Amino acid sequence: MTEIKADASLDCKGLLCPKPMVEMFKKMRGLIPGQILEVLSDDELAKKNIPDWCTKTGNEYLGFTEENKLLRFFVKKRA
Amino acid sequence: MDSPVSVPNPVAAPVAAPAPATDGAAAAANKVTLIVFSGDMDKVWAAFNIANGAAASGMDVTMFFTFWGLKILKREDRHPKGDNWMTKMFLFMTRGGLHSLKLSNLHRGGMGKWMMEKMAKAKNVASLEEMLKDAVDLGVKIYGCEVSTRILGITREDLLDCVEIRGIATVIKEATGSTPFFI
Repeated sequence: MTEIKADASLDCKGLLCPKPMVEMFKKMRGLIPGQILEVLSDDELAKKNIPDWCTKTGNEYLGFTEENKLLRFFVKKRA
Repeated sequence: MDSPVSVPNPVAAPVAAPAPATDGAAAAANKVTLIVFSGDMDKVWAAFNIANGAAASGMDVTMFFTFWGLKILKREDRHPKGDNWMTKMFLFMTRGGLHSLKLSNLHRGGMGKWMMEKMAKAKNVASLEEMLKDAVDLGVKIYGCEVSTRILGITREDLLDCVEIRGIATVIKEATGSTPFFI
């Protein structure tokens, strides 16, 4: 995946469902449409949860990167 | 003699055709309604999980606390007085608020609950208190059942600030077209 520049970052490491969703929702409120949020997680289930959350909320899921079990998700705020 | 009133045979009555399927989820309102009847800690925990997950997905969420569920909304810094000896006795038996809930299973005089809370904390799972705070922050509507408060002799002042006392009309209004949960 090509390098994506995030406008904001959210650390969800160690958080369990549904806390990351709650935190993402709160963080998204502070962004303007088109801005990109980076979410850090160490939860395998986030690979399913974050795209599903994006489908439901209409935000754009851009993908994730993975290194040393650290997952980095990128979500673009909807218009 | 034939009865002048025809009584339809319930067995032979034609089955009503199912309502035509609308465009699936897209047609349903983006709403969730939870009726929280239980005052069991684990069940209420699950209720808040669903509520907060739905609210964090941009859904409009209503939680209606009735009967035993009302206990969660009681302020812990004051004890409701009740309005007669029976409500006084009942309120004494159900004293406490959010922190006094029991597990529906394996409570074991508080030992099970203590362990459950410790395990959840070790795994970074939010406590009931945090979940209620999140719910309010996410705009989840927290309603207390008016009839339950009347029966128990609980007043508005006995409940948390985030609570609005409402009746079934509100619940039905909110539940129409929403995804309902009864817990």
